[in-house]
Amino acid sequence: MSRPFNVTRGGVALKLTAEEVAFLKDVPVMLVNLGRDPDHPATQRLSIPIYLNDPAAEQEYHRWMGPELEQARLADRSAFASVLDEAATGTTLSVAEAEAFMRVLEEGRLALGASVGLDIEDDYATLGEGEAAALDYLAYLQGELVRILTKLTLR
Amino acid sequence: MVVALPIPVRTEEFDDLVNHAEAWKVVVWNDPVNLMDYVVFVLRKLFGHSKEKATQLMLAVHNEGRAIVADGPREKAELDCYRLHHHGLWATMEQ
Repeated sequence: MSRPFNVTRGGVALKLTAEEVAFLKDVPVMLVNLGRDPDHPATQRLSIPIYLNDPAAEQEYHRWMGPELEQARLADRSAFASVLDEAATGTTLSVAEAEAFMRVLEEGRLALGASVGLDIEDDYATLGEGEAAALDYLAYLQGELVRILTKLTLR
Repeated sequence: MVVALPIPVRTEEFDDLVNHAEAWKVVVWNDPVNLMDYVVFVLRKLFGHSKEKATQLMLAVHNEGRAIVADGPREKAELDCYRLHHHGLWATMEQ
């Protein structure tokens, strides 16, 4: 089996099957849908308070940085969707696009994990086959991208 | 009449007080979803830690539940938390 990501002269080469592309295109859709419910565990997980004992400071921080974070995530998802449009035939990602792709995989895994009640590592054993497969596949892609980006940007 | 004012001298004790008042710690908490290699990558990328240092911090998060990954004035700590959240890590700050 060939690897989905490879280092190339222009950045990171990506090639996925049509089935993989179809699955991944659902990730941003899932994130948008879950984000509509502020009480959903996934939304809660993606909106972590930084001040644990100071609600006023937290409110002020959230007022300034909340929309900023939302915009950054929307930009990542937009890059993710654009890349996927070309992924079945093969495309090359810049490092910035590859990092955005990696962050959306992370966001998707966090949202999925929170949705299925993955609170501690032992909870993996309780997951259904489909849930575990989805998390494992996203983890596989993310791990591959981490390997490539480490090689490209940190050595 | 000219009055000679005392010239303020910055002492080590004064610096300690200022630094203590300003120092905020950025804490990353354990999360069952995050991949170990991903956490190491993010800590290296955002804070410029060596591979060894980032691995040590990741293992502290994994084994002890949390680790202090950065510190500094309040504004810097807030920005660090923002960048960690953008990368999905569970980050808070404390004094």
